[in-house]
Amino acid sequence: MANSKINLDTLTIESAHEALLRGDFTAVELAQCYLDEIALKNKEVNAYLEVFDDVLEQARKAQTLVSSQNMLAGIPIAIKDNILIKGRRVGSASKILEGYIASYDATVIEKLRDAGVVFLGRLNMDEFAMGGSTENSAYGPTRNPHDLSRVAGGSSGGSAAAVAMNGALATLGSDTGGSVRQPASYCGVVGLKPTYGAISRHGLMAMGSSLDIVSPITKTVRDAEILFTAMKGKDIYDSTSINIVPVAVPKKPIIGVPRSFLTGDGIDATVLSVFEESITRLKKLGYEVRDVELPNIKYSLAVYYVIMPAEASTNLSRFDGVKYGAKVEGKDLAEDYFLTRAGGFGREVRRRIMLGTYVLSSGYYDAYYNKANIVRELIKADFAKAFQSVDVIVTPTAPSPAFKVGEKISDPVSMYLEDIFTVPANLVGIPAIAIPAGEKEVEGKKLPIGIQLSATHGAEDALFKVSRDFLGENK
Amino acid sequence: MITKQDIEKLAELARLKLTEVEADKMQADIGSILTYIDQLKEVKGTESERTIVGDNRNVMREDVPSQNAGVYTRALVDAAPSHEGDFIKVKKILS
Repeated sequence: MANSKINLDTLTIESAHEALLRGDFTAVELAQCYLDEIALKNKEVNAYLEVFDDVLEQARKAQTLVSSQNMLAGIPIAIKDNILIKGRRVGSASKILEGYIASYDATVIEKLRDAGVVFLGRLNMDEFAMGGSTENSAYGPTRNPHDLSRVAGGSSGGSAAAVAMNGALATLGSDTGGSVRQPASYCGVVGLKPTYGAISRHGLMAMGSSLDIVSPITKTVRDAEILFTAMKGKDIYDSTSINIVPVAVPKKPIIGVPRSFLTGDGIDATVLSVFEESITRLKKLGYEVRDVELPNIKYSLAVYYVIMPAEASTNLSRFDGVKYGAKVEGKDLAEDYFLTRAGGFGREVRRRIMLGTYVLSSGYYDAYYNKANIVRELIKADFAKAFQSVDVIVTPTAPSPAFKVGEKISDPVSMYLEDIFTVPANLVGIPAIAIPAGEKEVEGKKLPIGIQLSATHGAEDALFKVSRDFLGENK
Repeated sequence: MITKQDIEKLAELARLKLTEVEADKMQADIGSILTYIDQLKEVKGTESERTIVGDNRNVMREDVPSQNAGVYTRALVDAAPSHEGDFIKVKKILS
């Protein structure tokens, strides 16, 4: 039932907080509003794998924490299925974790719960965050709320679709090679991948440990900033986490465009025209725009598809039927492993485990893994040099708008190419934000198109400033 | 080019059981991904290029427990598909 006091279309974390403070509505009414919306839309969209049964109880408690000091109290947020909430089911949308209950809280969950966040449920994803369409989920694909015949993107497709369908005020995803930015782009919402290490990975199921980070998906840049601020900080349970030293924002950040990276075929014409319009818009807002050279960026995806599977195959060796989740009995321990893993892992996960095992195996280690690490350093050096002359680098977020369910599932390389613009930020460890910039009308449906802004390590504030200017959020 | 024997060997190393059909598909998929990755061979660059490092390396700490003993034991043992008392059960590996 619709609540006439609450307009979910225009609601943001900031405006919901102000309304809760004024008493326009209560945290329970707000939570109920989202539960109603989920009940209405999730059957078609399949963003949620589970809606928690104690949401209203959480909201009642959160109401007592509402204060002007506490922006997140009573804010309903949903969580990607690879982030642990103690005592609740979690499974990375994989059969191998069927029945698994989280033994502890992720650090981000602890922080958000302390702030009074209401957790609505857990969200669909590509199995173990491997994929760009959420079609690799063991529980069926998530569909794009803008066009149900199309994918929501991935791997955090549930997280992006939930925000886009008004099924949560904000969500958490994780980003290893674009898993938050690409679905945000497909669904017309904001996705922030922070500086590597800025947010603890403790309690986030590992895929590529040198690339992974917990990342918020929101409706506004301001909301992404609010969640980032609430979650960041060094954590004793993640030795790669850091207290980032925020880089001061120049009065008028200089924008860089890597022109030679935008000429490859396979980039949709409307994506390119939206990009050019966006650059024009930034110039009109008074930003200076310069060309930058990133000579080795074209190798990013090749580097990524060595390093990520190498790390993922190592991380996923822990799923063996002994420690958690599902188990298939064989005649001996070795056969238990083979049968459990064969039945539990889906096709894309097996593909990456095999690829990772290959690039790490003796004889190929130097040619692939070592070489990829060398090229990764060259790419980092390219970015370091570029950031000497510009503050923010802008590209499209994805080379095309959302594609049809089933369109790319049988061709892994064409699916991987959807990450071409997002992967570099993970390899280099820099922050990047995806924001809506335009749309393409196809078959009567308006498909969102995004742009991506990236900046040097710790320079999230520059991303927030330019993005807010671009979207007119400062007004 | 990756061979069928390579795929079988990798599946063995990765503890994955593949059917004949899956192995054929895997050979084709891995082959096309490796063809894409092979562009790395055109990049000149040596070990000496690996001079730039992130802010964070070799994080050292004392090898001491960061939690009180036993806090998570029950939950972790219960998470194992086969367990008995405080133990995780596995099949005998020595004969």
